[in-house]
Amino acid sequence: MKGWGDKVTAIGLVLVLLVGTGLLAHAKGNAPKRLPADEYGTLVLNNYSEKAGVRPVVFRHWVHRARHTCRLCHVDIGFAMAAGETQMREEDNRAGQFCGTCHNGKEAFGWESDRYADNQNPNCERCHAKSAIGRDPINQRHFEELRKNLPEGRFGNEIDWAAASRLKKVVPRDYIEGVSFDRPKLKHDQGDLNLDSKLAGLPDIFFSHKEHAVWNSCELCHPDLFALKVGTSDYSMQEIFAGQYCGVCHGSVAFPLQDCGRCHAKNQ
Amino acid sequence: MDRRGAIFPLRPILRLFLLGLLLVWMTVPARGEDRFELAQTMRLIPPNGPLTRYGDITFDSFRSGKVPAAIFPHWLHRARYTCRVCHQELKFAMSSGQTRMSRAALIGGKFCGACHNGDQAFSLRPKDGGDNCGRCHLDNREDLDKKFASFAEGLPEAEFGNGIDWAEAYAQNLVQPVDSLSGGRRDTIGLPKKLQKPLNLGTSAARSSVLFSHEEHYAEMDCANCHPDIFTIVRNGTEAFTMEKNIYGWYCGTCHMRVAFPMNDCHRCHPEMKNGRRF
Repeated sequence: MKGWGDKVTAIGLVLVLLVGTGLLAHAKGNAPKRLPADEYGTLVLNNYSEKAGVRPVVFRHWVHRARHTCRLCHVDIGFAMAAGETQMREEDNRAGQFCGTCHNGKEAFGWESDRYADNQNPNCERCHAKSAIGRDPINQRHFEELRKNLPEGRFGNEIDWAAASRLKKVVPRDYIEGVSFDRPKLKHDQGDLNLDSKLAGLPDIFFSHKEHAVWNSCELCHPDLFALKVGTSDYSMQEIFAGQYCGVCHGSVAFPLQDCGRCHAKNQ
Repeated sequence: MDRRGAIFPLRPILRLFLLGLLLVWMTVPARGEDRFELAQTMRLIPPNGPLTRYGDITFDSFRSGKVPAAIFPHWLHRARYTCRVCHQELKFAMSSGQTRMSRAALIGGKFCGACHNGDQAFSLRPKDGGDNCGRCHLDNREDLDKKFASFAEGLPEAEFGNGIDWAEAYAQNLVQPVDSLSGGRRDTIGLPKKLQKPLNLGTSAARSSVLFSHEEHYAEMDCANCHPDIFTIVRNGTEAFTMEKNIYGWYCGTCHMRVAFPMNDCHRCHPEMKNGRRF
């Protein structure tokens, strides 16, 4: 019995050593993690994937916004503005809706191939990704290739997308034949708004309709997020941080709210 | 007595120790590394550890074994640059191991390479010559320790951390850190008037109430260093903001346990708590 007791002690010691080494290896700081620049705006679509036995889809906004305007997907194609609310299925995509509008083998890579059996196509994995968010070297490489030619931003993707479009380094597409509807060119003369910041000493907010109209159309914001008349929507920074009003996009896809000075930019 | 008794002469003590470890392990909060990390931190904080090493970061992610780990002394850098220069402009993460640094990035002028290019500070590029590798990949810390000793001389003293009262040193212009790499003042928004006077953060007991100065923090940092990642912008709106969480490196502890004065310096935030004060 004595031998048994020693064995337990010895096994205990080994376990402690193993657990200790594990803890050492995982000892990381615990300041809140910000997503790396190449993953800002990345969504995981998993309404049905895992239930159907396939990996969830990893959707990266940066890839798509480098080529298309927001309104193309969020108005013409009809994607909701909040993750998980577009109830799309594989059949819908294959019928040419949602992702399938472009991902059909013509506009962008598709799922059909003569060379592979269904579900064996290597393209499947381009969306139903194997790598976890932040650990995809291919994504990182493509992102760095794009980023090195674009003006630098402070937060989010660390790309100043607005400047990139002003400098014509990014020319987002706004029309797809057969999907987009013809619409009159947006007038940009609504002008820039100077919104009161409510707090003494804090610079007022400079809002440019023109900058937003490069990517969006009126219906994306009005009248759901903002009333039409200036001053009739009453909102606070707290609500914006909670994902309402400006925070619908700024904080999830467009430059995040940490970049105070990009909006509070008047009277500097 | 058999031979086994000789191998484990301290058997009962060892078992007690293991039982104790098991108990500690069971009480570790959901994020297991916290308690471990606190122990690491406490080991380094004066009086347990040397003043000179408080705030040092060891970069050894690759552990190649061929080169010694790089040592980053915060004190040396904070004497010349405000926190925001590196943690905002150069995009260093606030927690070690989270900044995606690579040799290529550094040589290409990112992160450390933004200053360490032979222009502002010694170059880390091999083509610039010079034997600078060993200045970060330190074999032996003695020179760095000596450098600290001569630097700290004449600066106002603090009881903990580096043993330097940095806030006082700024106030007396003994250190004058640069605020932006682009020259001159930073390009972020100013501090609103409402936030210029100290914030009285109530605590559970009146004697422990905290006077928080936005102004002193703003001198070193941008709003975005703390808001909204570490603290919400709603007054009293930060959830689970407790002293225990602080000590484990959350909230204030993000900096005030690693680089800024550590939290055994109670009275600097809780001015009414003078019990532990020696002078």
